[in-house]
Amino acid sequence: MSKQVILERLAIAFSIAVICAGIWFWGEQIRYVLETLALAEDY
Amino acid sequence: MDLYPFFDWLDTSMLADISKAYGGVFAVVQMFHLLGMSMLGGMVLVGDLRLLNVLLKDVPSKQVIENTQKWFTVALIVVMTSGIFMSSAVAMKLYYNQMFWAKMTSLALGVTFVYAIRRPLLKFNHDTINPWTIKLLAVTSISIWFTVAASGRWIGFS
Repeated sequence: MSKQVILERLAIAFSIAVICAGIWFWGEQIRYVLETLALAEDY
Repeated sequence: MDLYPFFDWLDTSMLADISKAYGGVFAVVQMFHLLGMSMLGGMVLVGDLRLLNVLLKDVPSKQVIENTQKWFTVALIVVMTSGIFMSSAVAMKLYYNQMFWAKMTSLALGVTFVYAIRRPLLKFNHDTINPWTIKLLAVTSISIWFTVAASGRWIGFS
């Protein structure tokens, strides 16, 4: 397998992992902000 | 790996003495940090938007990537050097800040991604690389560096 093919597959795997992690992370931050806003409304 | 001893040392180091005592020095270093971030963000966006065929479409993508790479590295060095100085002023506060760790994690991912994957892959002829892989590379790069910038800004609010 050539170096280019290895790098391409690594790029795809890494990208998918990073994008999934990013969606999870920012989803958590948005959830936290919405929870805080809801608490502020209740208060 | 517990980094508390390192942060404790940094908080009481000579660097911290300077950064805490002289607000003017801190402000100037922060200015370089922000300028470095602008340059880094600029190089990332120009390169990645070219890979996505959004701008500079009449310039070969390999040429755009090669031209932005050098200034990306310069910007990264400026950002990291100034960042260490600024961190020393509030080391223990940063140690307990979740967003700081999110920023450092995404910075490490970004640096690994650029130097271990993106740069070596883009040295090949871009016409021989799967176009979807190139687009995925560009989207991932923008996502990572956006996260570094956004979580860095969020530190101030957490």
